[in-house]
Amino acid sequence: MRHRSDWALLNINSKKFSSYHTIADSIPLKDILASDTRFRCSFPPSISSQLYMSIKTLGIMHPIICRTFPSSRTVQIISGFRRFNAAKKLKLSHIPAYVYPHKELTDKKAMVLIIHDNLTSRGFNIIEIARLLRALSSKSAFSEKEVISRFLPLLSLEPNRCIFERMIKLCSLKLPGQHLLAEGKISLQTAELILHVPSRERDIICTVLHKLKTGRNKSHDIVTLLYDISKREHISIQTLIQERFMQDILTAKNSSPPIMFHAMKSYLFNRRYPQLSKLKSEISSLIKNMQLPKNIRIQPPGSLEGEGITFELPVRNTEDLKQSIQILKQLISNPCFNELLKKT
Amino acid sequence: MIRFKPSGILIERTVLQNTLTKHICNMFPRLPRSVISNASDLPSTTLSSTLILAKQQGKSIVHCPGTPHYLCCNYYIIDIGIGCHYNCSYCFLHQYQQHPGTIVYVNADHILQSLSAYIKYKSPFMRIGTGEFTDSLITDHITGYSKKFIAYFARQDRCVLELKTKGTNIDNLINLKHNLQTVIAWSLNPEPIIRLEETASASLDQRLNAAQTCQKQGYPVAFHFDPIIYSDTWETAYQKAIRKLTQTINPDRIVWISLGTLRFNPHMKQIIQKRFPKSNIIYEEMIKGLDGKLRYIQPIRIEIYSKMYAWLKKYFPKTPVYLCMESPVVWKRSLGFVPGNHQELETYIMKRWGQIREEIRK
Repeated sequence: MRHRSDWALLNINSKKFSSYHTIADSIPLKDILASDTRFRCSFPPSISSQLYMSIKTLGIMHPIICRTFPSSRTVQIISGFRRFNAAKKLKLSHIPAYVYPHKELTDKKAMVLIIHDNLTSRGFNIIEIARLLRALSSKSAFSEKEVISRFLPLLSLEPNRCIFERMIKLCSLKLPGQHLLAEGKISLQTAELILHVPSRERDIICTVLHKLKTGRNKSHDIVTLLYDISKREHISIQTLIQERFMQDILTAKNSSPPIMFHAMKSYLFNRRYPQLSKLKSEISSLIKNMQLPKNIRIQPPGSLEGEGITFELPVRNTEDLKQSIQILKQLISNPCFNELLKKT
Repeated sequence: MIRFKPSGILIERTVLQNTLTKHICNMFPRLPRSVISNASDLPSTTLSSTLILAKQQGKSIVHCPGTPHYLCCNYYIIDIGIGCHYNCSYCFLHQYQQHPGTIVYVNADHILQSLSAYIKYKSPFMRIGTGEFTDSLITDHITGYSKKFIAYFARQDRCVLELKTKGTNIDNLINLKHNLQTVIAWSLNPEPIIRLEETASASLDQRLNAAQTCQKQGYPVAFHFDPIIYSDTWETAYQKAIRKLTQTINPDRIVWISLGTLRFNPHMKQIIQKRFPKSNIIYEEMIKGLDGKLRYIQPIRIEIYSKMYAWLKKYFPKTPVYLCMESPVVWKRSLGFVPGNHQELETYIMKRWGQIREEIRK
C-alpha cells in the first residue's frame, strides 16, 4: 500500500487542492475497517440503485479516500462510504483509494477533504450539510466564525450566523424527519416548523407525512394546519392526530395517499378556518340555489377579499348574448343573488 | 415601560464631527464606542441596545407607500432613524431591519432643510410623521429631536407634524411653543394585549396619562387603535380601553382616531413564531389580502370596525375616525361611507384639527 506522503502540498488554506495530483492505489476491501464511521457524512447511508448500477457497469470511477491508523494495518474511510458498501455488495476484492498517513491527515484536514471530494462529485443534500457544519464546528475544532465565513460559501450558503444556526438545528430532527428533508419531501421551512413541536410529536407528524406520500408543498400545508390548530385549540398535535376522524382518514381501507391527503386537508382547513369555511359553504349554497344554467358561472373573489363577483358567460352569437342578458336581469330580483352580494 | 438605554455607540465616520454626535458621546462618556464605515455594515458584536449614529443618506421625506388596492391617507414620512426596542410582536421592523441596534440619523438640520424645500412645491397641505421606522419619541431623551421639530413646525402653516408613540418619553415636549402644528399621537391597545404583545412599551394607563399631560400643554392629541387584535374577548377588552380613554382625555381636543386591524407580510408569521412563541396573534383566521399581506377575513374586519366606530362615535362625536389601509368595501360596510380618494380622506381626517385651530385662534 502506497501512502500519499506529499500531504504538505495539500495546504487547506490555499488553492493547492486543485493543483494536487496522485495516482490512486487499489487496496483490498478486507484492509478497510468498515465499522469506523466517524467521518461518514452521507445521508441516508444506504446505497442508491443508480450508484450500485453505475459501479456494476463501469466499476469505481472516483477513488475513495482513506487514512491509516497509527498502529494497525487496516485503514479507515474518510470519504466514500457508499462506494465502499457498493463494492462490498458487488463482492469486489479491491477498491481504488487514496490513502493518507495518519500523522499527515489530521481530523481537521480530513473534514476539509470530505467537503472538497464530495463537492467535485455528487454535492450534498441539506441534512448532510447540517451534519457537516456540526462536525466542522465541533469535531475538527474550527471556530464558529471560520465555519461561517469559509465553509458556508463553499456549500453555496450565505455566510451568516443565522443560516449557520438554522442548519445546525436541523441535526436535532429525528431520523424520519431527516429522511423527509434529505429526500426533498419537506422544505426547510416545514422542517423548522416541525422542530417547534415537542420532540415526542415530531415522529407522529413524520409518520403522517410518510403515509400521505406528500411532496414539499402539500407537506407544508398539512404541517402548518396541524400546528396552527394545535395552537388555536391549545391541544397537542398528537391528540389531534389521534382523534377519531383523523384516524379514520389515515386507516381507511382502499384509500390512496392522494385521497387521504385531500380528505385530511379539507378537514383540517375547515377546522383551522371555521368562519371562512362557513362563509364559503353559504356562498356555494346561494350560488346553487340560484339555479343558473350550467354554462353560466359565478365566481366570488378569492379568499372573499376584493370587490365584486365575477360572471363567466360564454357567448357564441347574439342569441346567446340576449339569453345571458335575460338571465342577468332576472338575477336582480333573485333573493339568493342579493344575499350573495352582501356576503362578498 | 423600558426606557432606551444604549449599551454601546457605533458612529458612522461621516458623522464623527456632527454636533449631535458629540453631544450624545458626552452624554454617555463611559459607554464603549467605535467608528464604522457604514450603518449597513455593522460588526457582529452589535446588540439590540447598541445606538448607531448615522447620516440620513436617502430622501429625508417620502410619501407613505401605503399598500396597493387599499385606501391610503396621503401621509408623509420623515425618516429620523430605524429601530425600536419596544419589541412589539407584530412589528414589521422584525423583518425590515436586517441588523440589531437602533439607528439615529444625527443630521436633523439637513433633514429639515430638505423638508423646507419639499414643502415649498408640494401639495397645499401635508401631514407628516416620524413614526414609521421607529417610535417618534423613543430616543428623544437622547436626541432632543422633538424640540427641534416642534419649533420648526410651529412656524409652518401648510403642514402638521404627528409624533406617534407607545411610550411616555414626553419630558422634552413640556413648555414648548407648538402653535398647534404638532399632534402627539398614541397607539392604543387593551392592557392585556400590551402585556402580551407590546411588552417593553408603556402600559395603557401610562400612555393615557402622558396624553393627558400633552393635552394640558395645549397639544392636539390623536389615537391609533392599530393593530386591533381579534380574539374571543376583543369586544370587552377594547370597550374597556375606550372607556379609559374617555375617562382621561378631553374628547374635544382629539383631532383624529384611526382604526386598523392586524396585518403583516406572510413571512412575518415565521418570525413571530420563532421570536414570540407565546404569542397567539398569528393563529386567528387570516387570509392573504389584495396587497399580499395577511389580514383577518373581511367579515371579521367589518364587525370590528363597525363596532369600534359606533363605540368611539358615542364618546367622540366630533373626532374623525378613519380606517388605515382598508378597502372601499370595508369602509362602506363598516363606517357607512367611503372617501373618494386619498385627498378626500385627508380632508376628512384634518377637519377636527382645523376646527380646533380656529376655535383657539379666535
